[in-house]
Amino acid sequence: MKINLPFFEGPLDLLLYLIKKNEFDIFDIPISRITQEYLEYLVSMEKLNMEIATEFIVMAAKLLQIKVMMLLRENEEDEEDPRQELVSTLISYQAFKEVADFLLSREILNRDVFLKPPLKKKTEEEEIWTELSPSDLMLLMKDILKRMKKPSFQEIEIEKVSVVEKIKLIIERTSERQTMSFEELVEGISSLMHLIAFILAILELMRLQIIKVVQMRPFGKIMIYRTEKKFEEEVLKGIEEYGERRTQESN
Amino acid sequence: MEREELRKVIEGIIFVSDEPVDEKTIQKVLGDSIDLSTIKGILQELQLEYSSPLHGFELVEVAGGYQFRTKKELGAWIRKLEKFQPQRFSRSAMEVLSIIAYKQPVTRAEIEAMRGGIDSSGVLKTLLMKKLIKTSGRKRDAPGRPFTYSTTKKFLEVFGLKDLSDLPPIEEFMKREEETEI
Repeated sequence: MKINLPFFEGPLDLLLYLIKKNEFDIFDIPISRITQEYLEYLVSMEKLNMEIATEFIVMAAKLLQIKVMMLLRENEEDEEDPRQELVSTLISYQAFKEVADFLLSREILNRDVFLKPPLKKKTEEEEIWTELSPSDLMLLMKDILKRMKKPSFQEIEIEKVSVVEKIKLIIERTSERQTMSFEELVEGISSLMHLIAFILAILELMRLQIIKVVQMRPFGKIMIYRTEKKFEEEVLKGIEEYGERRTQESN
Repeated sequence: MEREELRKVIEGIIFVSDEPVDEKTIQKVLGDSIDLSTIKGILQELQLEYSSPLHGFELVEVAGGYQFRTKKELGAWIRKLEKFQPQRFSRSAMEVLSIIAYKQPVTRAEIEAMRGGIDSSGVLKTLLMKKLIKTSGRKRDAPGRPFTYSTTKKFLEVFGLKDLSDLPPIEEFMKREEETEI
């Protein structure tokens, strides 16, 4: 068996449908008849195993309440019509449905009428200066590791490498020149630990928005730029604290 | 500058602009010696010219400015180009958008009450993503100071409206059925 139930956007949509179908006067809705039909609709929804949204149930309760109030009403002339609020909600809802139809009947951009596609906002040069993400830095690190000189014999020594020191170094070197390449920065380092410390330092400075890291083109030179100069002292203080925190954590 | 030359320049300015161009922007380019009424007059001339059936696009006054748009009868062909993502709206999106257009600034709770208690958060998110609405502040006297929503300039552009007053008064949609049928 196949039953076609019309789909309603919500309880108001269903009520308007029932009013129209029965040719009721919206200003004088026979409340017990409409309540009955409304509940019948919910029952058929249930039979079809359709989930009934809470707002439909809330409306059913409201209809029953209005029905009771209508019955209890003693003097029709003096008292406020219990249906009044529902009627004004229905009328405004119907109006908005018509507004929706009105809007849909307009000449809609990209449905009925079209524009010349927008001009490119960025110039070509700006487009290749893409800002780098931390993962790009990691790729570059891999590359540098490959190029690092491999010593013929090895002596194992415990080396103390400090990220704070590297941060200070980067701040120092970029404040002289405003900009330098990543290769320049890590030139001549002796071990992987130093490289890791440099990368951690760069990430920390990026986070603090003290430097900006840009790359002209894929696999191109990575440039480090200084963004904030005036807050140097404040930043250094912050970095010291960052260093202390790290030592505490490792202890 | 001769009026004919002015016309060409104005036509060119509108042609290269991504957004609707208003008279003041045109005046900024042309200089203060050209008054707004001259510009307005030329814009009307251009509108008339492009409204001719000889042209595939027309000059439309929309979202506070002027913009070249293809004519509606070309839609079927242009949609074949496939480079335009067709604009689609669900019924619930249109209901919410209609309420915001007339009741702005309006909170989510107010919108939901007007729709008979339907949860509208998903629709609001979609409309925000499409940039047809924006949050426009908070309602201070309501509990929790909820956000209020308003329509955007893009809303005017998409529905081809000059400004919000271009929307018919809500009373026009509220007439009793008997009256509208007459």
